[in-house]
Amino acid sequence: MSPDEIKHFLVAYDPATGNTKVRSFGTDYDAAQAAYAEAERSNNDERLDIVLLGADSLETIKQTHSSYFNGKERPELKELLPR
Amino acid sequence: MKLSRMADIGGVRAVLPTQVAAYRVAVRLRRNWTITRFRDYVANPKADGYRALHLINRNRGRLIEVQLRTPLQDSWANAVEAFARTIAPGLKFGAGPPELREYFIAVGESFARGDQDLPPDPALVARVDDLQKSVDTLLDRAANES
Repeated sequence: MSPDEIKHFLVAYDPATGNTKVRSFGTDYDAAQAAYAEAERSNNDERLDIVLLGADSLETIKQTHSSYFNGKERPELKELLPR
Repeated sequence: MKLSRMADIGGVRAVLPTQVAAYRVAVRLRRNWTITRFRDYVANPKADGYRALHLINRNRGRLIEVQLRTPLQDSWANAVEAFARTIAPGLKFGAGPPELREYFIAVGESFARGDQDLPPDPALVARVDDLQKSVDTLLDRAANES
């Protein structure tokens, strides 16, 4: 994957409710960055956790940044433990 | 640090199938890129149990942090992140309920054995199971209060 194939996603997570909103910008980094700046500006009280992430797909981000996508669900490590 | 400098920092996170694969990528990056810092949190885990390889790359005046993780290290870190965001602010910085901190340290050790293809350590497994119970109790209580 070359850098200009990276797709950009603006992710806003609300820790109070566990809700996640995603805006996709495709490969338009400038638009993504402008939206990111605007989102941070309107997030005065820092209620939301806002990140701008790039990857080949949203599926990748759901893995590498899974904590933004599991709502208020309790993270389970149990099944992963080597026994 | 000035904010204007912070704006120059970006991050890349990659999840590699094995620890060997992650080290191999780190070696290649150090050979081919301008790496200004290399932190081996696999050989020297953070006090909270965090494990990964971190490299800082300087490219056209910008600093990019590259995080290389195994799937287990990634699940571990995302779980800590999720807990830190919901029930235990400060967990990543050595605060939070002691049971939860010890739980993550023990799970991290257990995962590290898995990543090194070592057989499970029965004493460690028992400790994780014990801590799991305390953590479940703690979380049930927190859920009932909110």
